[in-house]
Amino acid sequence: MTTNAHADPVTQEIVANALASIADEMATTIFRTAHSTVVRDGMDFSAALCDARGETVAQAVSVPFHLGSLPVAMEKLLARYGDELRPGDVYVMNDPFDGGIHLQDVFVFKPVFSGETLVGFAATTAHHGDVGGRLPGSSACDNTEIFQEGIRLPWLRLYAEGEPVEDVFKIISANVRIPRMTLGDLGAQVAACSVAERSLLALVERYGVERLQALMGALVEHTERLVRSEIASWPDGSASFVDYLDSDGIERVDVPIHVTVTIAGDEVIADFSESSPMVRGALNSTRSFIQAVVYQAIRAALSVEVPNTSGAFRPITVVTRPGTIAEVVMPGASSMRGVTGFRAFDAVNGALAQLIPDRIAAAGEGGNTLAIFGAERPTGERFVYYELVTGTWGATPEGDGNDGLANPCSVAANIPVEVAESEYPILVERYGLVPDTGGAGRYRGGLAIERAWRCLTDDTSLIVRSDRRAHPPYGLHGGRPGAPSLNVLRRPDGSEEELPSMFSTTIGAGEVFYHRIAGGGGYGDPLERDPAAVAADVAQEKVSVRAALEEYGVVLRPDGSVDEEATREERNARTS
Amino acid sequence: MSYRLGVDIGGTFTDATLVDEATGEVCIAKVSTTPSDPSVGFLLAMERLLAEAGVAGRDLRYLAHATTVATNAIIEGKLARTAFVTTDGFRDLLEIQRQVRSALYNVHFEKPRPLVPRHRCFGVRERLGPDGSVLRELDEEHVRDVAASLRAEDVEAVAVCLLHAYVNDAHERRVGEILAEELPGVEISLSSSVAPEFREYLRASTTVINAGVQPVVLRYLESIEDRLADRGVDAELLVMQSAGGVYTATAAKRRPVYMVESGPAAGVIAAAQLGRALGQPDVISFDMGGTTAKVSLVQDGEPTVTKDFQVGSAAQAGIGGSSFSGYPVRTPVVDLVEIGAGGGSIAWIDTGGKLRVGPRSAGADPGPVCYRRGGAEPTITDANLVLGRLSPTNFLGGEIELDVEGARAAIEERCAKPLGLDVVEAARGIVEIANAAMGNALHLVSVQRGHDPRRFVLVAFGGAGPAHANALARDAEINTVLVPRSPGIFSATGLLVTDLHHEYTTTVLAPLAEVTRERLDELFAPLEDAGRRDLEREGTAPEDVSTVRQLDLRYVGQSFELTVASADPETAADLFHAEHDRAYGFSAPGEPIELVSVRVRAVGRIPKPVPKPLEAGPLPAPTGSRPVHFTEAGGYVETAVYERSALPAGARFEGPAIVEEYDSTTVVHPGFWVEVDTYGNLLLRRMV
Repeated sequence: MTTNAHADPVTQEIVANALASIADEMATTIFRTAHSTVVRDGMDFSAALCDARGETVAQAVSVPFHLGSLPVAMEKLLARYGDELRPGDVYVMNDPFDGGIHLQDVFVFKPVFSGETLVGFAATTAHHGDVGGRLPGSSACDNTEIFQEGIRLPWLRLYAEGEPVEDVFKIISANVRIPRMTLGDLGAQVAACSVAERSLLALVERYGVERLQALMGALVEHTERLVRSEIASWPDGSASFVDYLDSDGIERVDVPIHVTVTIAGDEVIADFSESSPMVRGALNSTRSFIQAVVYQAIRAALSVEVPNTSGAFRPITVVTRPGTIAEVVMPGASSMRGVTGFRAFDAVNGALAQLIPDRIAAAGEGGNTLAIFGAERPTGERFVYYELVTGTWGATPEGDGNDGLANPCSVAANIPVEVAESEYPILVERYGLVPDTGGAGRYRGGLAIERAWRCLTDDTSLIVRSDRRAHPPYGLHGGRPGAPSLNVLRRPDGSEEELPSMFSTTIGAGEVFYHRIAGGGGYGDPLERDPAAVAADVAQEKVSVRAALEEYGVVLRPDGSVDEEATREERNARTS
Repeated sequence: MSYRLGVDIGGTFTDATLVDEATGEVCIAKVSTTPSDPSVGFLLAMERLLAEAGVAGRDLRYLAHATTVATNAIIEGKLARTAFVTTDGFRDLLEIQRQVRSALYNVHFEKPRPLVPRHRCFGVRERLGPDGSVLRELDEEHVRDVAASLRAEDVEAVAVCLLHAYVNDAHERRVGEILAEELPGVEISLSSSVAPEFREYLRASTTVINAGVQPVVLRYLESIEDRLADRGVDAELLVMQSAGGVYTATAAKRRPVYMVESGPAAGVIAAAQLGRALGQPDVISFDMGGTTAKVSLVQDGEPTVTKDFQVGSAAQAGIGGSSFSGYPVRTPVVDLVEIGAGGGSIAWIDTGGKLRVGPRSAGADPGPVCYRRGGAEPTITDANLVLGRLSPTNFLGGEIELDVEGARAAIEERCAKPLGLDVVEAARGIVEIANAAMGNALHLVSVQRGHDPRRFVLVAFGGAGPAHANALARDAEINTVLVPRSPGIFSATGLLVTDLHHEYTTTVLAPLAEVTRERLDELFAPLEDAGRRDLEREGTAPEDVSTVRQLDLRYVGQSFELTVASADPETAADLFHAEHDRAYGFSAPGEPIELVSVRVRAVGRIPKPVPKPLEAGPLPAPTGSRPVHFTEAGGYVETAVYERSALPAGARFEGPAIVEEYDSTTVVHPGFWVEVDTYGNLLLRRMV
């Protein structure tokens, strides 16, 4: 059957485009109709299509971490309901022990039927701003078991043959802080699934169920071939790398993320067995999430464009050990495991950089920082303001890191200041780039971003997940690390206190929380950087005159132009 | 004697069309665009037409223009030396942008370069709250210090965008006044005037583009106006806006950001007007040129308009991923989906052994292989030639003879062999993949937005549109394709059939339930007054002015608005629920609605020329026949070829058939028949 479809590359390309287009329609629907800032402005959601076997055949531009986690979620759904799926059903799940990746990421899947025949699934994942639990926003680094982290939904029917399962809606409503927001986002996910259903059935009408299945299968195989052929072009070898988290979620302690990456023929193996045991706080990752991280790192290293299907994962094996930070077991807390994923990504890249150096960038900021403000408005109504400070990039083998761009594992957008201030009692005092924070190198790392919020309500819960204070983002091949992150609380009397990378606390009106995310690492020897590029950075006030000299050995004249002669002497003196 | 002239400057060609207002007689001209100074091509096209028709410059009563000058300035980085002034603490808004990327897995992605370099971005000490209250007074001395820095930087334009200026423009206006005093001769754009809407980066980006293209557009329009004056043309120059209406050159010089999609809009307007004239107000416009295809939906004679446009986004082979790769513009823009599928789009095999088409294009130079200008990579045009759809000897009126063997060899070598297909299968594949991508675009503007394409007429134009439209219609189950006369320059005719438009808006951000009809009247009144004033100052008679009231609404908690045309809160709520249901497949009538902004479109009516009917007559004999490949016919079939100019009104014939004219070829598939209507349009209809 699949051979047949493969023989028709034209139809295959047509169907691949159609499926990608459907996934995009789904994403647009979520984006435009969602209610929480984290979804509609932060764009922390994903939309995908799967075939009847559960293989992912298309994904929209949304969070890469989600795509890699789909196969396990789908596997669990099929194991539980595989024989009972009915037209009009919609399923919901957020349980990390039933295929989820932490309680905030709610999966909504809809099986699509043509008559009585299963055609495939519309699959969405969205990061919900609050799912109940101990603190507003649900996620907190110092949660120590899953029961503190919110409502836990194993795979359940949200709609049964088109009818809402009211009991499930009632339980959800009763367990979250802002039901309208949660139900609004769920509604957006369900709507996206319906959009996909309509369009997928149009494809069925054109190609028939059987042919469409064959074409979808062929697309997955095509993806696998693309990935295998590229991995085969990489040199065989094995390399290890260890990167660290600043904290176990509760106190300052080095938490190692260790990986050994092996390239063997057309396959890659990533082994996390030597990583830290599970930690006390909420940084423990599911195995599926670590798999997603590795998939993303390998995908990002490919030079070819590859369709977003699960075929890309087949040549990749991920090894984890239960009871480690890379494979949480009951009742471990996992709500803030995002940072563990980001660090695992950095670790995999650190290993890959030794094997395929011209494909791997220096470390970026280390992942989005979360700052979650929760309190009561003057009207008595509760609010949860879920702020994402999104990242900046490490320098690549070809050029400078982007100044201010979401981590390669994420596509989170920043939340506009005017949106934040219109909707929440908060005042953003500052938002910008910080000079001299990008790791020096032949190519410079992206600059750090700073953002400061003045709290306007008393008794405000503030939960922060940041990192890279003790272990700044690494540079590669002689490039320097980026500047470390920084958290500061400024009180109304002007006194300041430095805060740790991860904490939860209570602040009051008039207090200002300042966060600076880490800068990106540099690539290559800074003394090899084109002096004109350094001068341009100085002109742009991204690098100071002092740093130009100290870090790059570039001497500038008072008018900002490069003193070639003096620069040559300076650089020669340092290299000899 | 009075005439109307439309001039449309595109990337490759400058098209002009001249209409005799009394008779409806049309003359057209096509000259090469002159990129170094596009006004040269403008003049050349105009003079050629005037000479041909024996018309003097003073006989032109109406002169409208579509141009890519603003867009090109942005894409090519040729903006004026622009500075950006914002609230202290936020100078990096243009650097940071929204922090998202269009390429999910590309770690070599480079985000769009900020349009203003960081050292020309300044914060001034002041601060407003979200309700417009002053949290920190404007420090005027600081503004003067900034002005001194701007002077030292020798800037030509300044964009001012202060936080929350959409609710209270007092600080921005004062900053504008001080800068005007301190920097005479420098163009200043205020966000509260250009795009008074919330979300600071979107507003800032719009304002910066306005400021940055302003000196460029100013020089350009003045140069054209001078040349027109030299030739005795005293009609006022009008410019097509991105949303479809025209505005005067004077207004365009103030708000050039409104014309970034001038050219594409003209095409959609032309399709809308043609549909209205033929009693078919619901059309889908399909414009396929050398590098891209554009699809847009027109309902009830009105183009759909969006405010989520990004200028400078790279074209994509398929749908999706095109957002976040350019610079956002929050002015109304005709809502079209543009993909990298044009006659010059290149076919290639990826490393996984799959046939792909676009988005890379051979463009006009070297162009397709068959143009014999050194192109080596096969394109859609080459595939059409191999399939017999294009004539090797009658292309552009025979000006160039197309190289069939070259096209065949390129497809054989680069597509067919690696796939193990024969050359015809590969050529068919190239065309079908392109058609499917365009079909997705059509799906996106129709089905995805809640419209059933089957009740629309497909209006096909652009050099390549008529060759592909029938297949698109067949696949989307559209019953009628309309191919206007001179499809290659059809966009230019859109310039002759539009009205003067001005847009006005105020951000409100209030629960709709708390807004009374009286309050709405108060909000609309100043906008309508401004519209009337502006139009009348531009010479529109009061009786020709009309205004349309619109509300931007969303459910409380959402971030995206839908626009409904109403001035009554209750009606508006009903319309909003219905529109939400249509657009997204669901609505929530119990949920509270938020009024985000009110907008007014002021329209100054311009009389439309009456098209000249074509003489009726019997169907002439075909000019020839050749084998043309149709998949549904199982391969090549001997197909009649007609010369378009020889077809009289009322002529009818059945597909398969080919209709050739100077700048385009219409392909009629088996199962469709053709009728030439009173005005010479080809109507391709499905046979029952």
